[in-house]
Amino acid sequence: MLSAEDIRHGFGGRDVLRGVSLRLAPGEVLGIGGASGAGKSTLGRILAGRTRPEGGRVRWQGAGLPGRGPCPVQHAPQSPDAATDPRWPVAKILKNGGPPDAGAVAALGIRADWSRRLPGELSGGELARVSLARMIRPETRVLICDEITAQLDALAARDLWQALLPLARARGMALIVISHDAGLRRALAARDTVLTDGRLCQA
Amino acid sequence: MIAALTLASPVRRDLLIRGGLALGLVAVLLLAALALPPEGPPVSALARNLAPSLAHPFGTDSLGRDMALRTALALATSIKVGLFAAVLSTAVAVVFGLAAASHRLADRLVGVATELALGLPHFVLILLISYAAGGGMAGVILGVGLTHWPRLTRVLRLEAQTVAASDYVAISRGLGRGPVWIARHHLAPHLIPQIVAGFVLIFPHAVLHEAGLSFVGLGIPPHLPSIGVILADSLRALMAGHWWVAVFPGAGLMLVALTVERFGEALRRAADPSEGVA
Repeated sequence: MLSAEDIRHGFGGRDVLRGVSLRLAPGEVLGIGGASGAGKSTLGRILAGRTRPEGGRVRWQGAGLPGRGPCPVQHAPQSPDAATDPRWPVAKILKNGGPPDAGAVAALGIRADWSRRLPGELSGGELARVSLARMIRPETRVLICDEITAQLDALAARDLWQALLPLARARGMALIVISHDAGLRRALAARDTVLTDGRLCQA
Repeated sequence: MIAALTLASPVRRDLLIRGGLALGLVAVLLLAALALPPEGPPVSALARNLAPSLAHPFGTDSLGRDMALRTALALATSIKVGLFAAVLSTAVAVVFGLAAASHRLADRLVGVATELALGLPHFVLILLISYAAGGGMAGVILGVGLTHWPRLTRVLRLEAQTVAASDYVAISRGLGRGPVWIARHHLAPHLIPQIVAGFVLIFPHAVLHEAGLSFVGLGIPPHLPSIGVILADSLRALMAGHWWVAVFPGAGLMLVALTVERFGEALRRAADPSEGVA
C-alpha cells in the first residue's frame, strides 16, 4: 500500500536518512524508534508528502502520493498546540477537511460542549483528540503519529491510545507509531523498527 | 459561560473603554469641524488677546479669534491628514509584508527598503518627501504615509511567514485545502487584527508629524486651521505672555495622540491569541 524506496535526506550537509526503505500493509501498526536526531520525524514528514526527500521515492499504491486533494497519508505532529490554529474554535478544527467524521469524533470522546472553545481553552489530552479526529476521515488510510502522546501524562496517553487503536483497527487504517519510547511501541505495534545511522532496522 | 468570561476579561474591557474614548474624541472633533464655518472663527478687533474666560474658554489670539474653535478646527484637520497618511502607510505595509512573506527575492528587497527607511533620520525623510511632493496637504500625507510602513511591514511579514510555515497549515494542505482557502481561513484571521492595530498605532504618529511639518512651514498652508500653524504663530504671543495661545492647542494635540495610541496598544494586546482573541 504505502512504500518507501531508498529515501535519502539531510540537513546542512549532514546526511540524516541514508537509504530508508519500508513497506506498510493495510491496517498494519508499525513502530519507528530511534535516538533524538535520528531522523524519525523527518521520515514521518517525508512519508506523508510534507517534505520532498533529496533521494528515493514514496509510493502510494504503486504511484506517487496525490499532489492535490486530501492525502490518504495523514501526519499528526507532536504538539497539538502547533497542529491547531489558535484562532479556530473546536467546531471549525473538526471541519478542517470537510464535514466532520462522526464516527471518529465519537470514538475519540470529543464532547459537543467543546465546540465553541479555542485550543487554548482545552487540556493537552483534549486538544490532541480534537487534532487527531479531523485527520481520521474515510479517505485516510495511514495515520502517522509522531510522538503524539509525548507531551501528555501517562493516564491521558493511555486513554488516547485505547481510543485510537480500536478505531484504526475497525477502519483498516494503518498506523505508524513514531516514538522514542520502546515500551510504548512494543505495546502498540505488531512490527517495531529503529532508525540508526540513517537506516531502518528491525528492533 | 466562556463568552461571558471573555467579555469580562480585563483585555476586552480595556479595549472597549479606550476604543470608546478614542473614537468618541475623533468623532466629536470631526463633527464639530463640520458644524463650524470652514474659514474659522470670525476676526474681532474688540476681543484681541483675551485670557481664558467663560466666553472664551481657551482665550483669543492676536486677531481676536476664539482659540477653542480654532483648536477644534485644527485638530479636525490633523485627524483627517492622520487618517489618510495612516491608510497609505498601512496599505504599503500590507503589500510589502505579504510580498516579503511569499517570495524570497521580494523578501530581500523589502528587507533592504525597511532597513533604509528605519536607518535614515525619520523627520528628515518626511521633510524631503513632503518638500518633493510640493508641500501642502498632499505633501504631508505623502511624507508621513511613505515613512511609517516599516514597523507594520516587519510585523506582518513575520506573522505571515510563521502562519505559512506552521504545522496547522501543513495539515490543512494535507486535508486537501488549497492556497486560497488557507489564505482566507488561516492567514486572514491572523493578519487582520494586526493590520487594524498597526493602522491605529500609525495614526498618532501621523498626527504629530503633521503638526511638526506645519510648524516648520512645510505642511498645511497658513490660511488653513492646523495645530502646527497655530503653534508657529504663537511664538510671538508667548513672548508677550499670552500662554493660552500655545498651551491649549498643544495639549489638545497631545490628548488626541495619546488617546488613540492607548487604543492602539489595547488593540494590539487583544490581537494576541495568548492574551485574548479580538
